[in-house]
Amino acid sequence: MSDDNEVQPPSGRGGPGVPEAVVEAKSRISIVWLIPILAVLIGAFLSYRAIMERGPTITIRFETGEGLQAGKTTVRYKDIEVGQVTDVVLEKGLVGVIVTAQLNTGAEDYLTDETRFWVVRATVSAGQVSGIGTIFSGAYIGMEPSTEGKRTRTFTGLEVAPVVTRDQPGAHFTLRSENLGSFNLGAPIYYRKIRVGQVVAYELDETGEFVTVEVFVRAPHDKRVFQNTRFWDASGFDVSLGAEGVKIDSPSIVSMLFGGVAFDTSPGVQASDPPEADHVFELYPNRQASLEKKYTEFAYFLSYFDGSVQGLVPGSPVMFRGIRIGEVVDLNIEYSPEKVEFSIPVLMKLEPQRIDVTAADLEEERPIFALVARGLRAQLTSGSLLTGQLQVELDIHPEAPPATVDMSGRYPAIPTIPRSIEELTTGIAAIVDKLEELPIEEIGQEVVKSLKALNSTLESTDALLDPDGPTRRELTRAIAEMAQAARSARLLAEYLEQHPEALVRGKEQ
Amino acid sequence: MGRFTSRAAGIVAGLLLTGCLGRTPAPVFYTLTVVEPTVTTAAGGADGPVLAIGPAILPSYLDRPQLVSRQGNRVSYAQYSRWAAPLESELLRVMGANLGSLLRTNRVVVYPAEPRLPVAFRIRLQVEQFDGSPGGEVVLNVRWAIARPGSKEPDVIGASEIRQPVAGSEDDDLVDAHSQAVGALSREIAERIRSLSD
Repeated sequence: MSDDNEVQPPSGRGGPGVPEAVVEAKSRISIVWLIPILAVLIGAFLSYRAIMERGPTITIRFETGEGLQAGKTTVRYKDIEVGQVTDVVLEKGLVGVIVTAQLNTGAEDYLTDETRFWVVRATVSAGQVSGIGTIFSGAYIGMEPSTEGKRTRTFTGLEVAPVVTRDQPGAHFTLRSENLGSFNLGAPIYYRKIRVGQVVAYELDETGEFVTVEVFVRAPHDKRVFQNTRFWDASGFDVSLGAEGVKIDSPSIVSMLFGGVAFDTSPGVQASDPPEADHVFELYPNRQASLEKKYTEFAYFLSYFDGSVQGLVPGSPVMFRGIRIGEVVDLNIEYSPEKVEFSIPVLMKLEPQRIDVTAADLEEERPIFALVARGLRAQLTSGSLLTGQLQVELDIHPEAPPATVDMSGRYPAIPTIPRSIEELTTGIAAIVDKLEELPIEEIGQEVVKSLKALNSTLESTDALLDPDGPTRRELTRAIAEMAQAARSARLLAEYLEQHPEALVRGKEQ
Repeated sequence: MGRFTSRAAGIVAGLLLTGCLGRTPAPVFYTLTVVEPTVTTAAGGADGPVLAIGPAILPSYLDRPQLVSRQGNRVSYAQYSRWAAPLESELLRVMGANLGSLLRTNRVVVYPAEPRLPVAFRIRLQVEQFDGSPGGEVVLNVRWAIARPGSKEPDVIGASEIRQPVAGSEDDDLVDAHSQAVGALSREIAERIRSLSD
């Protein structure tokens, strides 16, 4: 408003009789503006609410998008819907798919780098059928929340559903095996034929020599695993032929067909400590093998034999005073052009752990030198007279000609002694021993006893033949009766022959 | 055909009827008798020599129960007069009794009984003929042997032929003559044994 627009009175300004209009300054913002501002505020609040209630949006990377559909596939935890897939797109480079999923509110706390996602599809595998429901409902994304670890919104999905979820009570153990055997993921773990767990994972270790198998044992059975517990592959069945006959050890049908792992703690052995977290158990190929002592330390030795080694094969036992301490690994023939001689190097694998050393620690690095100096020699002996199998016998022969360990080759060579002489002498010694064992005195006593018994037998025979004895008497009578009967028969026949009519007419008068 | 069958059946039935109606007469049984008086223990028979009598070998024609009568070479058997026991055992029994009396001993063992005592004499007999005819005579023709144990061959071998007249024509007389003949033989043998033991 300006003065120019108003009509001025003639008297000029501020005449005393004319009240002057008071000019009031108008407020700058109109009240009308309040309404849009309010609307904006409400809108902002509403959108904040909407965002807050929407929950976090995450992305998961999968190898394949099979069965995943935007707007349809759900994310579930314990079969309760916790979110929905909003977008499925190909990854850059076309290697995988990126799944965007909208989770419900409250899921933020459980989204860490430990959280696992996987796709649940219907699977029929060894001994179990899972996810049947997904045939009708379609695949869904399973979630295993975790509060540990760093928070994140980007995940890599598991290709295979985890066999065991973290919330199951129990313990994981690591087994080491030479090969995987015949079981698969999810194969059952048996304790006394009760199913107590599953195979969770397996992988080849870095060296490629072993397969590491991870198993899960449910509580409370995980308490039955000790450091000396032995695991074995319970697939198939064991047929062992022993001195007691044929023995068949079979697990359940399921594990026979689909494989499985059984464990037990050796009877008689005191339950030892629970295993440490990084304890690696040996997985034995079968129960029998698990019961046998397993040795992990080997020492290789050579022995050169001059004569024939027919009957000696890789696997033939190496004995020390009757106890098996190793086996033959390899046989060969060596020809020495200088000496024009053949010799047969036999490579033996010994298991030093079989020998308890009484001293706390061996001072010498290789006690073999001292032993050979004392007379340790290798020798071929027959393991079985029946099959002609040979074995290598190690023993101390103090009378043997002195020899030393030959270290020229790759393996130390234990000197040998010939076979025949020794066997002959031991044979003679054995015969002498047998003779000494003969119980001459007892035999004498037995002979006396036998003679006495014979005597009494003869006496009783005498009594039997005694003319007054009932036997003899009855015999005599019986013979006489027989003679009488024969006589009567003869007379009758004679009479009838002379008088056949007597049959009809009787005897003549 | 039918007529023939019925006729044959009738004949057979008639024969059977007559046969069944006929009665076989009961036979008469005889034994030999001891002619010498029995010597008892009280009379000193306990200390006599031990005699073993038997066995005796009889010809086959005598090995039957019927009494045998002879006419020259013809023998006939009396169907209803029979020895009560086989003639061999009768002969030995009576011989033993006779010899026991004659040699004044109870220690006589007759075959097939076994002697339990050291036998002094064993007497064996081989009969050649022992029959007769009623009204005629009984002939006992015997070879005998007396053996003492320890000697390989018999000490005495003898032969006797005893002829005993039969007093009557009945079978009883014939049997009595048989007993007398055995008595006579016993006396002959007893005589030889006495001469051996002296």
